[in-house]
Amino acid sequence: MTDNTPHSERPAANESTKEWHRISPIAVMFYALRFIRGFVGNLAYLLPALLVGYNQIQKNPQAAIPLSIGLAVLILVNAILSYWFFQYRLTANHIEIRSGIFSKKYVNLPFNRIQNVEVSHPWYYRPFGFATLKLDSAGSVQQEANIAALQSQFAEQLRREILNQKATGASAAAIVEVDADDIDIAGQPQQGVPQETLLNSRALKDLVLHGIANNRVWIVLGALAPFIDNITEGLPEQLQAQGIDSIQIFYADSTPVWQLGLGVIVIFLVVMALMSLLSVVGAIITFFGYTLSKVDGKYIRRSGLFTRHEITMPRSRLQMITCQQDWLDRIFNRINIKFEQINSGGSNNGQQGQPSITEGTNKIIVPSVTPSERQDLLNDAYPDNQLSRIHFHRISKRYLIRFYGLLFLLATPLSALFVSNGNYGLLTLVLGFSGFASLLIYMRYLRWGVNFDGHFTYIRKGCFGVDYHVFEAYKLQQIRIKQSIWQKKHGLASVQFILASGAFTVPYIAEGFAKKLADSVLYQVEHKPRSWM
Amino acid sequence: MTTDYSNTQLHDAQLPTIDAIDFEYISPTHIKCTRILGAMWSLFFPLLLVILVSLPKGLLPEALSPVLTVIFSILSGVFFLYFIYLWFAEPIKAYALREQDLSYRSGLLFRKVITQPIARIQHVELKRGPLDRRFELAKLQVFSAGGAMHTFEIPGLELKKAQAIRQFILSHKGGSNDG
Repeated sequence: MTDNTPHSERPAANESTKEWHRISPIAVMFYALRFIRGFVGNLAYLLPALLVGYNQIQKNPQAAIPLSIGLAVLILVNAILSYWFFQYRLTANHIEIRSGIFSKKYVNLPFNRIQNVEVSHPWYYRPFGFATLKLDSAGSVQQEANIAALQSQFAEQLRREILNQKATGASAAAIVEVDADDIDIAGQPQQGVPQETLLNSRALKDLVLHGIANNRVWIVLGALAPFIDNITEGLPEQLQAQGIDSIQIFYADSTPVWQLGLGVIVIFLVVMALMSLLSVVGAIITFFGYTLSKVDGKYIRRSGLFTRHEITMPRSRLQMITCQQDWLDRIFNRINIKFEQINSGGSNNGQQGQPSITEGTNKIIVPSVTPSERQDLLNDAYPDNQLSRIHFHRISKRYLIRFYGLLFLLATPLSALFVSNGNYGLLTLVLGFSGFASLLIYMRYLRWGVNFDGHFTYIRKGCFGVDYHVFEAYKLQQIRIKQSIWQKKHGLASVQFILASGAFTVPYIAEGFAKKLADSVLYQVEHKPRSWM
Repeated sequence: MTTDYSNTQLHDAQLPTIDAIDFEYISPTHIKCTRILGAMWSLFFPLLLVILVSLPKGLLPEALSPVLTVIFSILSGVFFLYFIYLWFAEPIKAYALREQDLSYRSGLLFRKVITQPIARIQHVELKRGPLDRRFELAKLQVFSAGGAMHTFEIPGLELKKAQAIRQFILSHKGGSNDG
């Protein structure tokens, strides 16, 4: 395995920044797997072609061998070319990347524009000590850079370099030049590497709890997605072949209702148990060996069973801390903490960001911590926060009237109809549903609250679970006060806080309080220029 | 980060308040234009309806004509309501520029006041459609890191005013967004 670090390729040390470098050839593996993954991911679109191909192969099986060889060669050639055409260059405080086989791409990314550096160690790299480096910039997706294979140590140094650069600011270009040479001497530990402090780590037990309380099924299902069609397709036919007619089971007049009900409940429980099991597996895949540490103002999260991900986030980028507790979390007395930063997704309003296997780089999640750990983490990030003491201003009861009125309007005619029909089964369904919906809305009303202590804004919301959102007021991007005619009559208003990580609405609070909130938060933003990034 | 942070108690009366903002209405020309456009739209579908009814029988397939009648009637109604809403909602739209922020008020049934601190603005755009160009108007768009969903937008500004606001935003101190 040849070394990819620049110093092995050219003699003079101070020219290091002028030359283009290739990454390590092991990247071929990365590109091949990426190609296969892309291929499987687009299976749905390729299905017609595959079906035709399958029929052809069935007709003449001897074609299968050259065909698969052809495919393998295609993947290999693509991977090798991808590797060959990927070149990068480090200049004073930029990284430049050239890539692309047919359509060439050139990215010039100044270090001080880089939002996030993610180092990950895919399982197939781990024996060889390689890592991939992902650089996110504040801008669009096109502006992000993936460096597929670097020696772990070099990747680590580069990451430190980029983040230090950010800290010292662009003015220190001369110093950076020296540092850039330091990078070249891979293997030699840099002097004066600051000590990391471990803030939190998660044991397997925590992850199991997390998996049960938080649905992470989709991680496993997501990986299976291309095959689900095939699995379910054959099912009814197979059942029928075994003499089980699923439709008959459900609609047979002979089966008593209680038997049917019991059957449904059993099926439901089995499905739920399976789901939680999968969810636990998903949580372990994502969070295995979880550590959260801090080194000069940066949070570093490391986790992952197969691919180890390392996400770094400067403290100054932190926009909001969310403490999330679903109803099962409440039973276990555990809390999920999210350190949220700029949401580059755009369309998503950040309240329920769909996480991926890596949990995205725009937030750092600490799964299922205990209340005391929550307090430690919160106090570390936001000293002087008063989340545990603050009194929340609840929203007005009029919030309920709208929903209850609507529910009443819907449920009454339906119930009347079913009573007159004598259809008591459906009547119970309607009443049960209305009761549940009322409870849901009432819980939501109870939870919703907001307050401001002069520096931090606190929002509480939820239903059976509770979410607390805490943010520093000066991080606000925009504020909106909304008021319907009806609200105006009763002196109520809704206020919406827009942050770089998402928007949060608190409805039906007193108009005066809403305006006071807006005024005080705006004052925090405006009275002194302070960077929110 | 928080070392230079001061937290002196401010009494409500001392805070500059949104309530005291003196809003300025958008250009009357813009209001007129939108109303005329709205009227044209609300006349468009009734016109189609008339054409449909007066068409000789057998020109359109038998089944199509009642479907079209229903669709056009619904659209006529929708656009008529929209026109009425426009008529009353347009003159409410107003904006205000303070030293540190930009506010925009709108909405007839749901009154909305958006305030955008200038220090949080990422970039500014002036948009001018054909009508805007004809009448020397412009729409001011202001982007923050709050995302595309929360673009701050003031329509129907006189071009000179819009340019002045843009200039004010661009030359505003305290827009230090680079960490």
